Amino acid sequence: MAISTTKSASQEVTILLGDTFDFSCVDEFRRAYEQVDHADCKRFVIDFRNTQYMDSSALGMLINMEKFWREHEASICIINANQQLKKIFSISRFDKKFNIE
Amino acid sequence: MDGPLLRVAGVACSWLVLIVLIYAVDNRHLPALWALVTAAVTLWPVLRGTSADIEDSAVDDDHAALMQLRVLDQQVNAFIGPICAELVSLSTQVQQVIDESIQKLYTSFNGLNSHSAAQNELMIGIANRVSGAEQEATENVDPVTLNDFAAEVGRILDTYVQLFVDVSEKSVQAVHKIQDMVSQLDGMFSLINDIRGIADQTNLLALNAAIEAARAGEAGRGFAVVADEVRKLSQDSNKLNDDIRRRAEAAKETITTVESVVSEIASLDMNIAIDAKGQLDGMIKELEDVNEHVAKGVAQLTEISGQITGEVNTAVTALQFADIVGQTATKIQGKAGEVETVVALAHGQSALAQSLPDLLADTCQKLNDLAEQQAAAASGAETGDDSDSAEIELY
Repeated sequence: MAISTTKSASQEVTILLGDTFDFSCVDEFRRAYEQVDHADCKRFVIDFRNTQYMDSSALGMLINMEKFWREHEASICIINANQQLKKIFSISRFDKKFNIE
Repeated sequence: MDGPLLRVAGVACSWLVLIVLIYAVDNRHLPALWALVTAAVTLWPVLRGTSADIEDSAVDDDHAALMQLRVLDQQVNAFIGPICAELVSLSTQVQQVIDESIQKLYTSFNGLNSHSAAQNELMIGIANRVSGAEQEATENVDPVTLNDFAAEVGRILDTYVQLFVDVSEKSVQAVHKIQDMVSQLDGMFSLINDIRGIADQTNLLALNAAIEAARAGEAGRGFAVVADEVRKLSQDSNKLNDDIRRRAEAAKETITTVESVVSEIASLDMNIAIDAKGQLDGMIKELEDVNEHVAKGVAQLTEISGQITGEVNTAVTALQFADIVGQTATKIQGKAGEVETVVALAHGQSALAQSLPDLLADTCQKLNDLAEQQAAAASGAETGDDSDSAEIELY
């Protein structure tokens, strides 16, 4: 499993991504956030500490996740992204939609 | 003292007077001249007194000296006249040459000034155009500046990146739907398996019914036909089931192909966008540097242009020396006239005088009158000079 989901704190779920975050992860990533209990999660943390590469489908996946959880009022936070990934988030104006730390 | 010595003294005195006259072209020298002539007149009786014992012979000598003096006077007159005329002509030439050159220099400097101003205006126009400081409201088309261009390119790049993100989002959404469809198809396969199971059981039932019908003998013959038909139906059902499975498998395969196509659409390497963005930022920075450089250059040019104007103005002011030279040339002409007057006076006196003492006394008197006239004229000219200098025509 390239993607692992853990309950890191009360009403907080951390999704730890693998080495690459691209189209091959679509199914796995979708399951990672759709299977979480709606009532027991107010905050998602997506951890990019292991991720070296992502393509534009990663952005599509994140937007789909944001749309899915918007109606359940959960916030999404992106952490530990490297310089290159931060540049991608900045160019695609993701810093306006997500909380990037 | 004897006659020849007296003649020599008289001739020397006359010469002295003439030489002084020639050189005394300036009013300031006239009093000195007057003093010299007075001295000569005062000296004359003394010379005469000391020579009283030889007065008779001196009368003849006196007459001869007068004659020599007249001859000499004519020679001097003939010598001085052309010099004065040439002096006047030369000073006129100087005046003309200076006037012409000054006019040319003035035109040239004025041209330099206006060209420098035009050059400055042009540079400021270019700089404003480049930096966008000045929008020409009179033209319908807005002038495109480098900054506008860079901003527009940046905006277009942003739009494209946004387009990538939108395409990816929709693609991922499509993949989600495709996966939903695949799971529906998987559900259909399990249903098809259920139908196959039912058909197999029906087939088995029909077989049992056929066996039971055979055991019943003649009475079961009709039932055997029904059992056979049911068995055929179950076999047809299985065949149909296989068809449905094949179609469903083909559909699943197609959907998988669609998914891979969508994956290609969704998966764009974002590093291209990053590189483009980086290059754009670099270009914008470079353009800003160029603008700054141009602005600095124009500021320097404006400064230099101001310096040129200042220096040209200094040169034009300096060109007013032409007026001073012109006035000086006029003065030289006047002075040449005065020299001529004095020489003519001396000439006239020597031609009319009956004796050397009379000649000297008359000449002194005339020179005195002339000095007074010139002094009066000079004081008038001086007051006039002030207004003249105030009225020097400035180019």
